[in-house]
Amino acid sequence: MDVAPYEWPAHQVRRALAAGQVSARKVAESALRRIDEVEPAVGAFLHLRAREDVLADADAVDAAIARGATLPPLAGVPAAIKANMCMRGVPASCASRVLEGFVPPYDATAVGRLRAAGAVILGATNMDEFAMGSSTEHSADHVTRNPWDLGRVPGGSSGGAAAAVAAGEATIALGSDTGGSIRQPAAFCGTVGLKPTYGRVSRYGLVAFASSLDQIGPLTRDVRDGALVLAAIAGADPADATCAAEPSPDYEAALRRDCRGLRAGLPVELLGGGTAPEVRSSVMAAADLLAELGAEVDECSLPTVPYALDAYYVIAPAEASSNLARYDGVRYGRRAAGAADYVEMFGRTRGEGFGPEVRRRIMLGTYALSAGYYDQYYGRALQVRTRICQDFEAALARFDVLVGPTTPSPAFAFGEKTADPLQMYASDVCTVAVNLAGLPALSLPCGFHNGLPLGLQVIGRAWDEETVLRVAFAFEQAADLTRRRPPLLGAGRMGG
Amino acid sequence: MGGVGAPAETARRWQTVIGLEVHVELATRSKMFCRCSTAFGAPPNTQVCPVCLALPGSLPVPNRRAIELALRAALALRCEIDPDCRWDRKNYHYPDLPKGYQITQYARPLGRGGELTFAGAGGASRTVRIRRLHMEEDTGKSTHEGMPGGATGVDLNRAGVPLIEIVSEPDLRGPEDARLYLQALRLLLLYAGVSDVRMEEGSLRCDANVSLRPAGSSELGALVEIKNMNSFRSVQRALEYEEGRQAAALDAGERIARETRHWDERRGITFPSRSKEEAHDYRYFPEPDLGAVGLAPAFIEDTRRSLPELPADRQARYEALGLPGYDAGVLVADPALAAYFDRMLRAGAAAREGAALLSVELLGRLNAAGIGVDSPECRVHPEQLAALQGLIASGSISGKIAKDVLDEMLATGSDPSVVVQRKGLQQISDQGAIGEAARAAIAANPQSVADYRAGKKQAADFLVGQVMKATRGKANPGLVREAIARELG
Amino acid sequence: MPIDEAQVRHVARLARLAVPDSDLARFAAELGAILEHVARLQELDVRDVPPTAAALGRPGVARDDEPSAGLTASEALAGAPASAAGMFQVPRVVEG
Ligand SMILES: [Mg+2]
Ligand SMILES: [Zn+2]
Repeated sequence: MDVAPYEWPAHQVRRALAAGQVSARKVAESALRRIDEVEPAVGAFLHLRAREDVLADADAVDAAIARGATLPPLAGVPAAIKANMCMRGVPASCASRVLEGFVPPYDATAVGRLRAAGAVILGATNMDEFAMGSSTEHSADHVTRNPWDLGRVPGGSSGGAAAAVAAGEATIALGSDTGGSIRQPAAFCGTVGLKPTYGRVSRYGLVAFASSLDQIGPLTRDVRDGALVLAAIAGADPADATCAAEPSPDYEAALRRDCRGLRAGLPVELLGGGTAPEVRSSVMAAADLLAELGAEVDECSLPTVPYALDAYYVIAPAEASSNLARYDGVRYGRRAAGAADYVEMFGRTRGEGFGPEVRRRIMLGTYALSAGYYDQYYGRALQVRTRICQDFEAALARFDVLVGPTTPSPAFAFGEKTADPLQMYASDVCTVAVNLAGLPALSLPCGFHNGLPLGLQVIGRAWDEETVLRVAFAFEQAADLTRRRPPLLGAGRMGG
Repeated sequence: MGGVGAPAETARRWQTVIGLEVHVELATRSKMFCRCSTAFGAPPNTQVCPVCLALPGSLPVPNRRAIELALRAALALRCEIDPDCRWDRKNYHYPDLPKGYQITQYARPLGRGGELTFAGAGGASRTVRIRRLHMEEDTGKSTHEGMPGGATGVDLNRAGVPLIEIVSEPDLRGPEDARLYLQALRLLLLYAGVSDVRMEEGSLRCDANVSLRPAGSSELGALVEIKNMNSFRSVQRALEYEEGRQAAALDAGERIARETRHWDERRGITFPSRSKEEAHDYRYFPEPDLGAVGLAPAFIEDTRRSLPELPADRQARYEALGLPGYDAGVLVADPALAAYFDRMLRAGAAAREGAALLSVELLGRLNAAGIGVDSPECRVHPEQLAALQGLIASGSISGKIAKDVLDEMLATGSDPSVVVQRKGLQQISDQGAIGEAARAAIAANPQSVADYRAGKKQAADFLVGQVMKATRGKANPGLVREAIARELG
Repeated sequence: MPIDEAQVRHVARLARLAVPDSDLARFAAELGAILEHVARLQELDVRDVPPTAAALGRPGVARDDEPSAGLTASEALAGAPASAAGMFQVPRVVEG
């Protein structure tokens, strides 16, 4: 029985197009049909581009093929973009009321590169408002459901992107990861999610949450697609002063089926008391499999990492409080009506326009930077960050990669963690340290528990996405888990 | 002035302490963190882009030229340079501040510990220490003009224009000192090529911190910040007003409130600023969108070497050439004039005489016509003016004739020698011809000769005048005087 | 409780966030709980540890001083909630 094109990974789309077995239009139509079927149940998108615009982009790819042009690496691949990246003419609301009506007049660099690589963009995906959250429940618009269990969250903040890829609505997606926002939803939705090294991918056009931590990366069906998308979007950008000049290697060429000669560290702190038993056993089994594939696996320690969450929840809100100061109702977005003066106008625009979690973090960050508290909170968090960087440096001097769980537990139910912000924050416990250190890390499925996917996190040295991809690819090929699809056949089957 | 005691008495009782914070727009073509033009006077919001509009997702990238110009300023002010200086964010909300923060330098400014020496009040040499010099970006502009119903309009053309902020130590001791410091600073920055420093276009702006303390005390009084002073004159006026206001209050036993006050140019007073009621908490933190500025030592050294001669050095050089301090100062105060003078010197002009010819004769004529020495309408080149000075020095023409020659040069752009030749203005220095003219004058004026012989020595002057008249002023007056004396025996 | 209602009010004003009085207590409780949690940072000895504001800094990045066209005034004002005379319109700002 043939698998419909919407199910194919990107590299298969490319192969089929090159072989003349399918047209880009057929691939796009397949994705659009799948969206029609499952989107009402999943709710992955905030904004879908007009059908005829999507098909026109696909036709352009077919026309290029007909002319005999060299196929770009992501030709005809249906792609979804998290709603915090600017696309000219497509609303980028960041799932916030404060950005109601904002239509960017420019393209984010990563989006532009994805387009240049031939991808056909479907629309903007749902997220936690301004990427602040771990369940996509903090979207001002609607919730997104986990394709593996519609009663559970897809994770966040790139929940829409992960769900779209998992549900077959998009072949690839771009997400952003500030404290785990690509990896955690990838783990919850059983997809591959890669946070590149800080500075590997331009942030120009990515609506800032915490500038020193934010990084754009791919959410894909498998590791090879992750490599392909990264290759398409990575590299120096004169518009982003934090984007590195380092040349981007051929990531696909780095993929191998073994781990011979590689040393993998298992940080004991990532498997601490809060880790669910099924997660722990799945990660231990993954470590065994890596050993079978030739890796030398050993325990190691990152002693300061247990403090990463605390440092993160000072640094990220501090930067966010400043990054979100521009939403004042003067130049774009929403403005509260009827204010007597600008002070009232600013206060009410922001008070009414931001949701509770965003308000909470702005308050927290403002407090942490304010006179008399800077040293105690922000200053100290930066010092702890230094220690965390040193921990990773020491561990990665001994090991080529570190492996551990992506999340302490599988996807949780709606409403389970919204009452207590600290509980929600704790779902980032395994991922935030990596952002603080700027390192590359990838999450891929390493098992299932009660039908829910579990994620294995592979952390690498700065600028060494190649080794991360290599380890992930070898594991993926041996574990053979990424071909599993959620039991989501069509809208008719959705019970909720 | 509302002083209670006589000013002199007050001055004895209180010492004025002033520090200035000066913002200067750098002479770049594009903005600090984006490529929008910095040209002055464009229609509102026509020099804007995603970055300076603070559209979501946009990022800053620093302008290399702006950094270089700021470094020039810091070097010209003899600051210590921090090669690892960094960017910070200064957070506050205002309609003309698009990002809700200003990118500036706080913890690690570009320069610290500089100084500026200038001629202060009464001509005495004063040195003011520079606490810090840092780079930052300008805000937009708010206006009410043309807006409906008393609303405020925001124009973001100026948002993101590169600035340096120069903070002095509280080393200034009076309003006149403050104005002279500011003028010296302006001149230094003009020489260093850092800025156009046009105060009327807002490319140089100044805030002052003023306090009074009992004479002899070394502690600072309550600091009052004065804003909105838009000219050198208004800086001095505002500070004079403020000095008087504080002295009167102190004399009356009142306490000075630590506050920000606004200068009202029309009413000539300062008044407490309404927008500054709440204490500011700018929540500075390192700008995460930018790495360290990263000044390579070689770049710093190259920039230092590329600095032109600065005003103080030029003043000293002119004085060493024999120019009186005041005359040298007049030239130095105008970089175009000084550059003109230097070209005259290179063309061989004598310093003192050349300077006089330039600043009295040429400048007098140009000023009357409203022309600058560096404008193309000024048809007399420095080399030509030097040549004119040479003709006077060699005795080819008299100083009086030189004025006519200069008029002709200005009108035609001709070389002085060409004018002299064409108009036959060559000075007559031929002994024979002059002797003949002297004898003719003596013969025609027997009465004068008799007077002279009777002891009225000034009768000779009349005879000299007759010779000059007969030669239409071309005769060498010294030789004529000698000839008359000789002929009269 | 590391933060009280008066502090919440002050921080809200700094952040220009209108917070209804009825929300002050809840904010104080939530922020207080988070601040109590992050107070763990005080447990670590960080004497002489330098701060890291960005993990992989890139010093010395700059561009040439070449102007280029940005947006037109109408593009710039397209998304503005209110504009007039080519400017962004806001409620009156009193200077001084
Ligand atoms: Mg300033
Ligand atoms: Zn701009």
